[in-house]
Amino acid sequence: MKILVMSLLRIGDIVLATPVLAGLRRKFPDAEIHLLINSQFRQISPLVSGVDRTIYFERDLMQKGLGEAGVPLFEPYERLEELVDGMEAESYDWAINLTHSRLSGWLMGLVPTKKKTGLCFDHSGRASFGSSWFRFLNHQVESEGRETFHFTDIFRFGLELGDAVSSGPVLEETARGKSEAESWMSTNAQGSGAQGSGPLVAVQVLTSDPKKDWSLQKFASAIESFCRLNPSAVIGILGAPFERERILPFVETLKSKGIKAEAAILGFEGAYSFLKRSRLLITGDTSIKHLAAAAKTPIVEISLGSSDVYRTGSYLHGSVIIQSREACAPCVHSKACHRATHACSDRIPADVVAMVANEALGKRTHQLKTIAEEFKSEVEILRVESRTPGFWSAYSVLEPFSEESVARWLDLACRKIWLGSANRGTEIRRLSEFLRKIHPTTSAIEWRHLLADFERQGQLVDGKINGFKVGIEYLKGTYEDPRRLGVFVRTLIQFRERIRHSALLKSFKSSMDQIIEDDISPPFVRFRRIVDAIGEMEKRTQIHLSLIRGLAAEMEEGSHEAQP
Amino acid sequence: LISIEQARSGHPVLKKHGRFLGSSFDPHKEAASWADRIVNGLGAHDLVIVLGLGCGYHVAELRSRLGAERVVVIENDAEVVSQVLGIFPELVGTQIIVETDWLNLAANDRFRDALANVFRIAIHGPSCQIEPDFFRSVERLLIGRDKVSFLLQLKARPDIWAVLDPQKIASMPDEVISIKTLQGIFSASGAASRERRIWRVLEELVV
Repeated sequence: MKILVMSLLRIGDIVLATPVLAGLRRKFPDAEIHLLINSQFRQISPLVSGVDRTIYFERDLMQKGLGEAGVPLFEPYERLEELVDGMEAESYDWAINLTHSRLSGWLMGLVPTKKKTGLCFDHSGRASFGSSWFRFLNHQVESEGRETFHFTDIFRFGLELGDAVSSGPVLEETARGKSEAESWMSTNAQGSGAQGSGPLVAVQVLTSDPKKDWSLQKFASAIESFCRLNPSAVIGILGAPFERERILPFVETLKSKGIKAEAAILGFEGAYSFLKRSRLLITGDTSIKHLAAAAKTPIVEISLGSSDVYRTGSYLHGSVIIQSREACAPCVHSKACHRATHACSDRIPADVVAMVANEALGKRTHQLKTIAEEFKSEVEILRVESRTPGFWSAYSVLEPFSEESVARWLDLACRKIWLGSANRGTEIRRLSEFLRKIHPTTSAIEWRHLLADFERQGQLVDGKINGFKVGIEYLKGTYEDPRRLGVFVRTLIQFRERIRHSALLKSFKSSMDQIIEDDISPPFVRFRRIVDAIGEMEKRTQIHLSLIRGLAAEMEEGSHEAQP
Repeated sequence: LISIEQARSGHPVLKKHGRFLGSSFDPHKEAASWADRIVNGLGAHDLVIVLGLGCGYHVAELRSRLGAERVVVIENDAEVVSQVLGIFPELVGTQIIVETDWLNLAANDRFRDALANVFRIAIHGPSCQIEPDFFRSVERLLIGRDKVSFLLQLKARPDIWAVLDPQKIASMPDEVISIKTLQGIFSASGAASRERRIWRVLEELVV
């Protein structure tokens, strides 16, 4: 079996694809696995294991060829055709697109293979996904908020790798990286104590996007406060060779304050080995955080600008994310910051980062609530949980016991079952355990009341859906009559208004929006979409109800167990 | 018109119309640094099309870096070719296309074969200074961004030609052709072709 995996975004995305590669290797030990990545990120290749061949997409060269008048017009075409010829010659059995961009969709359409998973455009531009999870990813890319799955989870569920996949990124240390890191350790151990008693703390101060950068001044204050709490700590300021000129003066600033800091200007292989030897990483939204997740090094992530923690947060259980409470964050990735100052960055106090890092270094969590409480107007502190719920999740350490909070987890578990990757009984058990973990002081009676209310809401939808089904039967022969279709759509609008403010049912709103606001499609298409949307709501409501009832039983049982 | 002189380094160097076709100090050293510049950033399988054979030093340097099969030379003077091969017998076997009229190049099979690859144009300065019109025209033809060059290039690409709309091609403007121009000239039946879909991928790369 020959499998092609496409990951045509950035380094971080390639690292997020590694659990898939490891899962495929475990599920198909004899398969030949090829990985297609952008050539400018080839430095990650030596760290990625389980791949038989890495193919490079010469994005930069092709882009240059398209944009520069002095380059032959057909050069990018010939370059791409050469790649396509190569892919055709390989006769893949399965092509997997983890990229989800229009470019990758068209490219996927050029790979001749029977089985395709992920976005693929046919010759007319019609999209197919080959998996309900990847179809869901298509909608999720557009949506905002927390009611989403981490990309790594979507990939592993969509490819039906299940438990065969490791929970986080998987990289392999190289001899070159090891020697680079060890040489750094031995050089900087003399006088700084990196191999002595003090813990090595890696700090990545720069990101690839100015919107995601926390100011160097704030980093300096945070490191200073952190070192006051951990005087023996040695700080390694991580950076790529091209960042040297910005890193070195920063390290000098730290040294002038008496901090044991050294620049760690390393290649990717070296950085990974360095992280494996570090006790903690403090970083913005960078690919380095994914390397640290693979190295199992605890992470404190500062989430700024367009950083989308709910989809691409560090996949490491127990990581902590500090997110600015600025109203405009997270912002759109492709647009520059519209504010006069970098407000989301300014809002995060240096002391919060220092205190959270101190907790993370000590592998403690009990102070996080106190810190979050004290700075709750400026930041939200999230903890990453990837063991209990069966999917990656990040929740506020001050997560209130509210309808909204419980509904979010219930809806995610429901989606997981609906998209075909979970067993109801297992999900109920996982969900109850997880909810008890984040709401440990909630009493059985509170659970009973909340879940009873949820059940009532579910039953209301169930009843309404039965009404809609009758309406659909009536519409079957008459949907071309705009008046009749209009009457039916009005009942949908009324229903949408009823569920608008329900935490449990608000996720139905977006599918209702699509069918209500679609006044362009021909009547038949519109009618089919209505039928599909009602069908989806019916199935999801049934799952919701069974989860709510199962959860109520689990919570009752749990409360009996807790009684002496 | 063509004579062989000796550079200060002792290497033979050609003189054409009273002008040297290589460095009169050290043509070998000059050719080595030129070849390094050309090879820098070149894709692993890319071809180099050299405009001008000159004294052959730069071609020999390129061949030593890339191998003979990745170097194609275009020259308009057959006498230069015979003189160079006399000086550099090891260049025998190099793909040298000799054409006095650039318009005939499109009909040349070896030229067409070369066009079907990913290639970089490498200009040999002294040759181009002596024959500026010929080499500028060849460069324009290789770049293919004006209508005449584009049409000549299409002759070398029958697969693309087959999926384009002849009427739309005829109404194309003469000015600079870009990927945007190409988007509009595919025929209705060519919309589903492999060639059109490759262009679709490229269109997504345009920022």
